[in-house]
Amino acid sequence: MKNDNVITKFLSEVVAEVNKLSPEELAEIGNGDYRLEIKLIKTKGKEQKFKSNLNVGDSANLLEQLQSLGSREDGVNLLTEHLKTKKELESFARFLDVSVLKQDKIAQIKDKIIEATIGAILRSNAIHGKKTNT
Amino acid sequence: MEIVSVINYKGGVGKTTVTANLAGELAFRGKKVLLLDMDAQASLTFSFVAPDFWDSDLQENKTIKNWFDSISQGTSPTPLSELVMKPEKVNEFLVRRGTGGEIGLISSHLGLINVDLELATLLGGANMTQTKRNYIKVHGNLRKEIQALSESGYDIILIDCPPNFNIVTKNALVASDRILVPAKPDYLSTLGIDYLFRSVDTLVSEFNEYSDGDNISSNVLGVIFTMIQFYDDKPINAQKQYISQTKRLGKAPVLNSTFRENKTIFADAPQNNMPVVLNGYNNGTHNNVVSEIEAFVDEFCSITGI
Repeated sequence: MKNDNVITKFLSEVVAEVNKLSPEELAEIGNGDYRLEIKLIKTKGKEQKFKSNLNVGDSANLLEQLQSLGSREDGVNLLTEHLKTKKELESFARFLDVSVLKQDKIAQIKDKIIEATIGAILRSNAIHGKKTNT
Repeated sequence: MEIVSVINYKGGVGKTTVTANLAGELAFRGKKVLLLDMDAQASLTFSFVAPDFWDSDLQENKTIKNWFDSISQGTSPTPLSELVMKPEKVNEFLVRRGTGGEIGLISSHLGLINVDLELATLLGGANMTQTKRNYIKVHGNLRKEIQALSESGYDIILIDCPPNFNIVTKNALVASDRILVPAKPDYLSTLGIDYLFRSVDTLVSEFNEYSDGDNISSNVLGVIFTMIQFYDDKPINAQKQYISQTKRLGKAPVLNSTFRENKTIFADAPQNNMPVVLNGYNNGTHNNVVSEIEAFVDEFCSITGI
């Protein structure tokens, strides 16, 4: 791709992104409270090459965070924040020995992970009569 | 002398299979084992003696029900040592093999289910002091009696508990040093583990509150997972997840050993009055089952120090 084509593409993407801003956000940029920054993000096609296997340290940290949460909803949010792809979710499920079927959708895998971690703790606490905020 | 109760709230988890095979292997290793069958279904009893023999020789006056009946009637109970019988087939095998070990059995009784109601009438009292005294008396009877057995030379007493938490079960738990929990790795069984621990904790705190210093503790030896289905030499994923989940929850130690599902050899072992672990097999899979039970007993021995 020639440089001028790159610049044209780049500028049109900037325009498209700026167009997504609300009048309030534009005003905040205008009065200097906020500024625009350019961040490079890998395109979807290349995302396939992202490592799909979390390393053990990452998984252990994520598990620790999950188990410290007080509700299933917080757990889903944490998973959504940290595990972006189905492969990453499957990899984390494998780390937890959670059984995942090929046909499972992302939401189902998340549910299974949640039930095997926070869900198990909440169930156990409920049986032991400990207060939980489900 | 170690006293271990084998219990799970949930029935059909392989409790009797675990107890019978643990006893068989310990006796094969030269230990003197006493089995106390407290489950009214009498599955452990019928794993070592035929029901017709039980009917003709044991039912009338040689079961644990006789002992509980004396308690509920307020008469002096027959010492437990007089209720012990030696199952013939397994002990002949142990003698033939020169193991030096033996298995004694105090049989259960199908009528044991009614004993709870009778014992319950002994609870309560006119005032708090009397209520507490009756509570300890009703729940602590077996404990006193089993302690008296320590001079009989047994290395270990294994109590097969019923899948409930009635007075007979509580007697067993109060009498025990440790609790072994067989469980199937599935959703409801893992919930059952929590129900059990909750009940055990309540029992221990109630007993200790009333006991006037003679305290007990809830020492869980571990959870042993049973009926494991293997694929490619590993437990199938659907079961593995519940084993891992139980380990992560950390409410009790989970033993590394497991009992493999094998209907072919476990289905008729009780009918032969011989635990699977004492049989020799030519088939590779059957040998694996035996090796895994032996590994479980290794682990059991290293935890208990027996």
